[in-house]
Amino acid sequence: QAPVTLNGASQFNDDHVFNRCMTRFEELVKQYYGRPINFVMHKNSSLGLEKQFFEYMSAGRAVDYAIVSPAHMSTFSRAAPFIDAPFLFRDLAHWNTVLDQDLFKPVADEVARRARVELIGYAGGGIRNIFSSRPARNMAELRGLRVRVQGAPIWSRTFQAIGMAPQVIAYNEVYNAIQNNVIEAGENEAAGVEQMRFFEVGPNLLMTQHAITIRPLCFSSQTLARLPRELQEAIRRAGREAGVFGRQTESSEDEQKVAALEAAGRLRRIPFTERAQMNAAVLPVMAAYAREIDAEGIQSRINAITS
Amino acid sequence: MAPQSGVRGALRRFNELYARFLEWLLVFSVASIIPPVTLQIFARFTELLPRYIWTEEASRFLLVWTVMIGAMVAIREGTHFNVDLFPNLKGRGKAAADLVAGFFIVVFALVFVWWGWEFVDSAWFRISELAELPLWTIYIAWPVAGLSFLIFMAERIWDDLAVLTGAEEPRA
Amino acid sequence: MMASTLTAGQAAAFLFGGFFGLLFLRVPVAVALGLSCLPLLLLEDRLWPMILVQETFNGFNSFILIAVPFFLLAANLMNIGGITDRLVRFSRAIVGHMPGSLAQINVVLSIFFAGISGSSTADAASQSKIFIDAQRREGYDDSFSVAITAVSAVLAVIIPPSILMIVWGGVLTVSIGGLFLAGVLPGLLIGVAQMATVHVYAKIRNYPTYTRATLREFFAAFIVAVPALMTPFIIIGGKIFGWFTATEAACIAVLYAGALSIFVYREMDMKGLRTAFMDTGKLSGITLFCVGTASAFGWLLAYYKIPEAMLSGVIAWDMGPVATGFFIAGVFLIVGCFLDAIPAIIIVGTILQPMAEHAGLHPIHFAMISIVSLAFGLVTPPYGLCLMIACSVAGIRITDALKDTMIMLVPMLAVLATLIMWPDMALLLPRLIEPDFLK
Ligand code: NA
Ligand code: NA
Repeated sequence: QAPVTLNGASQFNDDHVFNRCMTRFEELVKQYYGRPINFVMHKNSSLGLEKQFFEYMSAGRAVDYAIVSPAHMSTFSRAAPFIDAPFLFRDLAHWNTVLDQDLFKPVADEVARRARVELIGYAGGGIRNIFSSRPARNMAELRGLRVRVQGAPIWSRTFQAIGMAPQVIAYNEVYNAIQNNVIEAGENEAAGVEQMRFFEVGPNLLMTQHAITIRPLCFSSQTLARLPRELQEAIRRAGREAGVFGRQTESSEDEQKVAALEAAGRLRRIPFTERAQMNAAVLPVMAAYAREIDAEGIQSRINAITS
Repeated sequence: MAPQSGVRGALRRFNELYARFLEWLLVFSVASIIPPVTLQIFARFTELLPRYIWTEEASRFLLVWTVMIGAMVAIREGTHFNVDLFPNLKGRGKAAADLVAGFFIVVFALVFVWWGWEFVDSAWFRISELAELPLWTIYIAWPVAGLSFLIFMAERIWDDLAVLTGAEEPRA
Repeated sequence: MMASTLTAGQAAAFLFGGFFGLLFLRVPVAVALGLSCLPLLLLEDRLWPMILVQETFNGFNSFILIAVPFFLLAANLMNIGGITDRLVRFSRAIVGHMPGSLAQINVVLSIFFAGISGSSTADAASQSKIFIDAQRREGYDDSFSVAITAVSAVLAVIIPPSILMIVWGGVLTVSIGGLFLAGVLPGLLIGVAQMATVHVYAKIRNYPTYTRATLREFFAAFIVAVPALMTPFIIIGGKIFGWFTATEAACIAVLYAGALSIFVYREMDMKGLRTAFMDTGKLSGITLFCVGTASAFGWLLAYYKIPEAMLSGVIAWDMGPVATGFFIAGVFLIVGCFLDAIPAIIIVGTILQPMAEHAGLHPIHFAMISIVSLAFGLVTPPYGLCLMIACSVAGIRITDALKDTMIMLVPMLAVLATLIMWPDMALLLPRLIEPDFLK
């Protein structure tokens, strides 16, 4: 019998931390399974964007595993974007504890039930800041900042609550839009700022640290069910460990990337002095959001962690 | 110019009406893309207009419908882009060649009906990210397009068969 | 059970064999692209035909594509509302005494349009509506009018801003600002080459020229055209002052052209308005429908890694920079005959990158060679969207416009060859203005 072939997909090239994380996943599966198995990685968006990878995994065809931003799972599960919502974590330590305690399990269960995709590990760890054509150090200076946010309602609601003017712009128009001053800023982690060359048009990195990313490593439930039991176990174990690897890698490289860009004179870090006030401003919005999607329990457990 | 009685006449009359309906729908769908984009631009400059986040998504979905309706009308009018390597075909030869090409368009239409329905079926309980619209309201465009291709092609094929069998003169 | 049933070679045979076979049988391009995917989707264990539906949806579901119906609608409103007439009359007063003036204006307007929009399809659609009929009325051959409208539209993706450059910069991590600067010189040179071509055509075929306008005629034409002339300024101004993005600019063009036609020139009635919208929907429909099935076709090329398999041994040929440059241009010129430019960048650009690096091509030089070659693909059949649009508007067959298009491509290819042999055509401006971008 021919060995099993599994198809993975990524929007990025081999240097990107997601691809390295999935390569690690493949190596670990091979190691734990101990029998021949083939992996085919479709990189550089050749099969589309993360949203489409997720749809294909949900259908159990074409794509078997991929790292997907939780925002792209929202059409299946309204609670999914909560995993990656802004203003959820105080710092990296807080974020790590939440993931170690697997507090998002109820959301992952809902995704598995509704989309038939299992979240087998959690990568991520990029700290999102605002890259802007003008500096801003405090709430007063942020006021009215025309900033492009991700296409999920919670992002525009929270940014509005801070006093900014969030805008919806297609991702590949962001560069142009900042260059032409249609918007002044966008927000992303270091890897995204570097990849899309946003520092060329928005060289001020406002250190708001408003989000720390979580990027689940996903696996199609239907594919998984067709595989031999030992392989299923190898995949679950490898996914968990590859996720930890991805998290450690990205959270350490994130800082290095920013430092390198700053050293090359392409980016200026602008300290943000009023993080407490910012968090206070979004508190009611986040509470309302958690209520809306039935995630109050998770939210209070996240907030209760003292680290 | 064509028989106006029996099933064939009824089909022709139905298609005529249906095509006119689609044309009006097309006018409406093109026009409907303008307000959300306009709103998106002007809301940037004034507090008077609400800054909705669904404008981008709504305009994309309206574009999808516009394209699909436009493609249906184009099947009826035979205006889809074509690289015609035999531009000089006439009469029965042309009818035969059109029948061959028509067969493949029918196959294509059937794919849109069958798997387009599966596409809709996969989305009954899913809502879009920004506007929170039920996704099936967009996906349904595929089976609808497939069915429309089929009824428009039925009329063309019928005409071509009539020419091929010599029952009718080719239409100008 | 989960192995690929087909190899890359077999899949390629199905896709290309199916596509050309169906085209030969006179099946429409969009249907041929979609149907040639069907055997693979049925045969392959891991795939199924819903992918055809899903990928066509993904193809249309793009905010940037909205520029196509919008610029087209603006053009239709300008035609029906009398704006075009006034613009043509005014430009005739300026350059009407030169040979082939209207066609020259066609090229110049494309250069301006290129500075506004990053979409060649939008340019081809709107300018076909404006120029082909006007040129016909002045006695130009249809095939010439179609060809010049189509080839000048490709400037939109070469002269910045360009959506292709943004995609290229994002996928291959090259400075987008650098690419924008690099595109200026090749774009202008291609424009000049086209104007020279028009000049030669006009001389040989005796296209109409007008007596030089008197100062009085000039001012009369100018005054009437002032509001119409504002159209490009509002759009360009809006971009310079940061009021709206490129796609949104298309919407502003619609609003302005509509207001002008209805309230200022008052040549628009309800019937005209309805026709403008309906024509827009019809042409956008057939154009973008093609984009949808082409993206399914490209998706399968990527799934089977067909370009990778075909190009795998080439790096070992160890070609020099110039030979590599020509090879890359050749690959993209061929790929441009089947694929849209954006999927071509994603699928093929990433595969050619190591080869370009190996040969020592500067990343921006490599990008410009590729983008210019892909832009030419917009007018090369069978899948040459700009050419198909212009033919469809003129109501002539693609085969009829082919000869003139190919003739016009020759000087453009000469510019491409110069770009390959003289890297500074791309690198000069970035080096002078923003040396940082070259790093
Ligand atoms: Na032109
Ligand atoms: Na351009």
